[in-house]
Formats: sequence, C-alpha cells, structure tokens
Amino acid sequence: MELAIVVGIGIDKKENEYVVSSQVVIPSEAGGQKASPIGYAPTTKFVASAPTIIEAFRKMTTISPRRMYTSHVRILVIGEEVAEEGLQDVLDYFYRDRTFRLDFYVVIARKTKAENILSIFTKLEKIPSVSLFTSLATSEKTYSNARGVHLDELINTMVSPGKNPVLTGLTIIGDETQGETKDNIQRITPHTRLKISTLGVLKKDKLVGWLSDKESRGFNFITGQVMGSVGDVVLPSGGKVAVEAFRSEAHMKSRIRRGEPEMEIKILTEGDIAEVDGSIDLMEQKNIQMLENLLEQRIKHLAESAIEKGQTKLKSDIFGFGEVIHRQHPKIWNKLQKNWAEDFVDVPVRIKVDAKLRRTGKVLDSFIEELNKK
Amino acid sequence: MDYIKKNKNESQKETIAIHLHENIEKVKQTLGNSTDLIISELRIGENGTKKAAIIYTDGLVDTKTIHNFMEPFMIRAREIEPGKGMDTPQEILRFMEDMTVTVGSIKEITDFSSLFKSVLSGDTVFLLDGLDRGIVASTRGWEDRGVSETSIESVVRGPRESFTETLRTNTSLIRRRIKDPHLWMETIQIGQVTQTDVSIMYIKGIVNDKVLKEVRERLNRINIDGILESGNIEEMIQDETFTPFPTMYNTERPDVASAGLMEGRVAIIVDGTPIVLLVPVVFTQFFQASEDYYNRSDFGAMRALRVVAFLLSLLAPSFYIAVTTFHQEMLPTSLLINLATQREGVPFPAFIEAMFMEFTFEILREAGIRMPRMIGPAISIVGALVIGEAAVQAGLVTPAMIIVVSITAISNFVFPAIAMSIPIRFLRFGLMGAAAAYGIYGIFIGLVAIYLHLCSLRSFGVPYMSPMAPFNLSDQKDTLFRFPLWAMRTRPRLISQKNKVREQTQNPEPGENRP
Repeated sequence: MELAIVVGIGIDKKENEYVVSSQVVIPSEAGGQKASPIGYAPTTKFVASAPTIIEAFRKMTTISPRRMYTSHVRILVIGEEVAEEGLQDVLDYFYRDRTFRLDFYVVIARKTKAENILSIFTKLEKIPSVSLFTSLATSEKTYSNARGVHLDELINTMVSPGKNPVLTGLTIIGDETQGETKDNIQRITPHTRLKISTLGVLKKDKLVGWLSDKESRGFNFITGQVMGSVGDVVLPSGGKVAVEAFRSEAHMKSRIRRGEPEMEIKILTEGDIAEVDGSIDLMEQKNIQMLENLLEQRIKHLAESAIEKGQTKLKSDIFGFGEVIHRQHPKIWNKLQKNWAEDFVDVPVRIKVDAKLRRTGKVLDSFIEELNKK
Repeated sequence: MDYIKKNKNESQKETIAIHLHENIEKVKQTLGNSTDLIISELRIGENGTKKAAIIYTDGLVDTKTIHNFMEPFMIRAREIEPGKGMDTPQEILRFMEDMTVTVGSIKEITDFSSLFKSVLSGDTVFLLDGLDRGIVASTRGWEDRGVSETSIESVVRGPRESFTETLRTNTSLIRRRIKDPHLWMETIQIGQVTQTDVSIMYIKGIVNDKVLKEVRERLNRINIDGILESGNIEEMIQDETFTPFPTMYNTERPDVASAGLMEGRVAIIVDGTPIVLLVPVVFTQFFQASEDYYNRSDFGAMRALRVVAFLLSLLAPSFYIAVTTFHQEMLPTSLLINLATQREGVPFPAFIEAMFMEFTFEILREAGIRMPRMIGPAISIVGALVIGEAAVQAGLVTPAMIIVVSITAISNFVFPAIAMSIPIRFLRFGLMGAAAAYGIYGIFIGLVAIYLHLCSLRSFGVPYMSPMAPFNLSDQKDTLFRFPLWAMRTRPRLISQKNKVREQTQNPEPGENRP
C-alpha cells in the first residue's frame, strides 16, 4: 500500500496552465489512536502546474515519494476564477479516469484560491477534506443552505438544456496564513476556519453569481432537496416561533397558456415546533393553523426570493424549469429549447406552499406563558 | 512381501497331522517359539491316556473363559467311565461340542492356516492326539480402552459415546441403536500381514445396492500388507486421490454412523481404530452436525453460519490481500486511512505479511497436536505472544492482519467434520497467491476453479455437490437449513434410490382434547 492517498484536489489557473494542488493524507499522523509524538500536519499538499490536469498529477511524483492515489478523493475544489472562465476543460479528466469514484463533492473556492482551501488545519476531523465533506453533508441534512453536488450530477445538469447547475461555495474565515500552521488547531477558537458558504449559480459551465443564504434555502425548497432545515416565524403578538422542517417535497408543474409556459411549484413541508420565544397557546388548534400559515408564507418568501434572483439577476435556470417542460410538454419544448436561456427569464412562476406542523417537542406551552402570568 | 507370501502358501497346504507332538512342533516352529504363545499340554480320558493341548496367545484371550470352558470339561471327562463315549477322539470331539454353551462358539478346523489365524485373533485351539482336526473356541478378550466420551465431534445435546478400537464393540454400538433385522454386516480380512477385520454394515432394503456392490468390489481389490487405520482403507478405495476434498465421511460417533445407515449409506468399520467410514458422501454433509437434528429445527440455521465461516476461513486472508494491494477504492475512506496508518512502517507487502502469519499459525496448530501434553501450556504462551503483541510491536505485521488471521483460524474449527477443514487450509494458501497476483479477479478465478472441481467429484457414484448440483428441491430441506423432522419425509434421493419415504408423522398440532 505504498500510496499517497489524495483526499482533496484543488484546481486553479495561472496564465495558461492549470495549477493542481492535492491534499495527501499522512497516515501516521491522520489515522489510528496513536498520535504521533512529533505532531506533523495530518496532511500535506503537493502543487504542480501543467497544461493538462493529468500531466500536473504526474508531475507531482517528482516531489512526492509515492504515487498519487485518487480513488478516495472526498472533495474537488475549483477556484472561483476557473469557475468563472468555465469548467468544461477541467472536468473531463475526473469523469474519464477510472480511479475516481464519483462520490466526491465538487465545490467552488469563494473569494480565494482552491489551493488555499487545502492548506487550512481543521479541528474535530483531522483531515481537512474529510472535514469539508462531512460538514457539507451535515449542513445539507440539517440546515439546507448548501448542496452536495457529485461530479456525475454536475455534468448531467451541465449538459441538460433545461437545467443549470449550482455548486456550493467554500470560504475561509480568518487569516489564511495563520490557518496553515498547527498553531491554528491548538487553540480553542482557531484563527482560521473553513466555512460552507452558499450556492454558486452556473450558467452552462460558467459561474455567474452567488445566492444568499436565504435564497439558497429557498432554492433547496423549490427543488425538494430539503432534508432538514430551520426557520422562524414572527408571531402577530410579538415573539418568535422556530420551526424545524424534517421533510419537504416539491412538485413542479408546467402549464402552457397561449403558447407561453407557466410554472407552478407546490411545496409540501412537514415540521416540528422547535423553539417558542413568545406567548402562544399551542393547545389551540387555530393557533397551530395560524403558525402553519405563517410558515407557508415564510417558505414562499424564501422560494420567491430564489426565483427572483435566478430569473432577473443571474438569468440561469437552476431550478430545472426547462426539464419540467421538456418532460410534461415535449412538443412545446422543442420550440422553446432554442431561446430558453432568454425566455426563461419571463416565465411566470406561481408558488404554493403547504406546511404541516406535527409535534411540539417535549412541552406544549412555553414556560414563558406561566412566567408572564405571575 | 515375497517371504510372507511363501510362508502363507506353505501353511495353507498343510493340514493338521494326526500326531499331537508333530502339530505342537509345527506351531512352535512357525510362530518362532514366541513367548506370548501358550501351549499347555494335558492328559484327559481314563487315567490320562489321551494327550491333548490347548494353544492360545497370552493377552488376546480372556483366561476366565478358557477356565470356564476347560474346567467342567476336564472334570466331567474324568467322571465318565471307559467305554461310555470318551474313548475315540471322535467321541471326545462330540462330547466337547455338546458343552459349547459355556463359550461363544466352537468350530472345527483342519489346516494350519486357520489354526494360526484363530490363535492370533485370540481364539483358543484344542488339539487332540489321534485327531487330524482342531477345535477352535472363541475366547477373545483383551484389554481395550472401553467406550469413552467423544473427543473430536463433541456436542452439547446428544449422546456422548464414541467408537473404540475394538471392532466388535463398535458394531455393538451401532446394533444397539438399530435393532432392525435388515441391518446386515459383512466382514473380510484385509492385509496379508495384519489380517485386519474390516466390516461393512448397511441396512438391506434402504442401501443402494449398486453402491454396496461397488464398496465390496473396491475392498476386495485391496492387496496390501497391512491396514492400521480406516484412513488406509479410505486411501485405497476413494474415488479421487488428487483432490483436497474428502470423498468419504469419517466419524467417531455411533449416532452419526447410525443416521448414515438409515439414510442408505454404507459404514466401513475397521478393527483397531475408532474412526468409522461412511459412503457415499456429499459436500453438504460436512456442514451437518449431529446436534442439528437433536436440537429444535431452528437451530439448523447454524448451518448458514457454518457456510459463512467456511467462506471466511477460505477467503479472509486473500480478500484482505486483494483489497489492500489492488482495490483500495473498495474501502470507506476512513477505513483505508486507518489501514494505511497500520501499514506505515511494516516492511513487507500484505501478501508476505499474511503468509508469514498464516504459516506461524499453521506451525502452532501442528505443534499443538503433536507436542507432548505436558508442554501444552507453553505453546499457548508462545502462540499468544508470537501471533499477538510481539509481532505487532516488532513492526512486522499490522494489527488488522492479526484480526484476519484469528478469524480465519477460528472459522476453520466451526465445521462439525474436521475432514473439511483440511482442504480449506490448503486452498487458502492458493487463493492468497492468486489474490496477491491478480486481486479479486484472481480470487474469483480460484473460486470458479474450486467450484468446477467440486462439481466434477463423485463419491461412489453420487455427485459430490448434490443436492445442489444436480439440484433436488426436496433434499434442500436438509442443506442450508434443517426443516422440522416431520417435514423431511424422504431420504436423500441420490443416496438411497429406493424406499424413499422416511416417515409419515403428521405435522404436530394441538389435539382435539387439549386441556
């Protein structure tokens, strides 16, 4: 097993060459129960630049004693500049080479180089790429502001005429150079951390802009990808109630009116009451109904803001409206397909939300109620 | 061999002479005056005018039986007056035959070859002067181990008896279980020097006559100087020599042998060994413990566990080698990093590492069997140290490898029939080589080869892989799982080809009159 296990790959561009950086696990430091007394970094980074990516990888062996083993890549970080220029030339190697497992996430380094992302020490998970991978998977399940996109999914949406891809962004918070030293993780509060940012919107293979946190969650509600999220609603009486969504579905329907397409999105969400910071009688059925209505409005608002950004500002069909029309009205799609990139902007979208509250947690009324009575 | 043959031919020709002293001289000469040979000369008849001798081998006879036989004979022979039927040798012989009640059996012999065979098997020969015949009284009785508890095939629930080294005891153990008049037995002597008794037992009417004929033929073909254990017989009559798999079943349990007989198998019992052979055998039989049938039928699911253990024992090291050398992408990332950490600093490739550990274990195992019992505890200390801590701390092997070797080793002992663990031990090494060369591809090539080989095997005409190949639905009730006894209505189809119905018990249900 004389291998350099690559867990993360970063791609940047410099002049006309790709700068490929790979994060390689140092097994004696990263694994096992026995922490090495010397305490090297758990990973190391090899950087090489070449006109093609494979060549850059092979070049790395001139500085690495072991062969680069890429079957366990957890994350592929693409520099923001490369993403803006277009991904088409970058991705082929990863899709073609047999060693890649295709279950890694593709992300974009936001406001920094991909290379820098791979140099930050992380806590809890020793290996930064694994840390990013699990953190992306966790936030996808519990907060839904991001999307873990696998390579094959990315390529499929890229080539689909009726849908554009999104990719999650990664940012570095804090000072980049301080994050590269071990000192970073020896503190309770590290100088520098890696953060899952919001969704980047692509048009075909080019990055055109970013969704905000709110819009990202709206996007995930529209595409039915929410596996868990949290939102709060403001009560008419003041105070807030936070709701934890644990299941959400979305159904998109296309309708043709006078030859023009219309979209109807139905979002079904189920949630629990997670936090009550105010006065409300949860024993009352009508109060629950009121909360459900407020929640529906809130989700609708999120979704509308995402549509707004996608249609008017970024002009990219990340929601897959085109695909829906293609599926439901194939004949009309044949006509629409040509100018879809422009026509998409004007498609009227109606959003219907149906929210259900299922449980109230361990208690019914908040103790605040009792507190205020006395 | 030539010398033996010559001697044998000579003595076969010779008949017992009329003069006693000639005969005694002859016996003494042929047996080289061996010190355990007892020849006691007596005088019987009126005034002791008739000379006689009894000949037996010390240690092989039950002296009490001889006493019980000879004493009343001598006393009554003196009481009889002259001219009242004790004058001629013929009359004495008749008189003797009348007294056979006290010993097992009495027969007449006329030649020396039967005389020697009788004497050396523990019978007593009575020779009378003036009579060219000898009288053989069955007085066999020697020190044996007695029926003791099973030591190889132990069970939690089930009989504890096991076979012993004495043929007669062994057949009696089976007879005690099957009291059917159709339980037949044939005995032949095999081995020109050893003259070992070999019995075949079968139940007439259930046994497949073709198999029986085949067994007889193959046994008769044996021409060898000696048979010391049933393994000798097995090797002389098995279907296929160049296979790691056993084509005959061996057991030390009378209940297993009886069950085999009732399924239509033939038992081959060899004097001098507690291991009884059963033929024909199929592959699945090695996964069936006698206990499966004594416990409730859901316990039969243990067989699935045995199959898993079989695969583990066969494949665990080779799979480990294949995955760590060729298919690292099959592992979850964290496991790979963990393994990589362990392998850091280990100087050998996984194959060498695995070979090293497997060999160490095989050596320990072999030593454990062969070593004098007093040194026993020493090996466990050495074994635990070598296989365990020390090898890891020395940086020669990874802890993961130890786990692989341990699970392999322990899985190897799951089989109820130890005969099946031997082929696995051999094939495991072959598969490790294949895995080191070609990865999982190599393992599968190896497995396909093994499977094809298994399908080509036969045991006394019965396909080894039946009832899977050829497939038989009804017989599946007793392969991977054991169905309740009332559901297994027929005997294995290919074993006993006639008299298929085994039982017709109704599915047990609460009766009409339940309380």
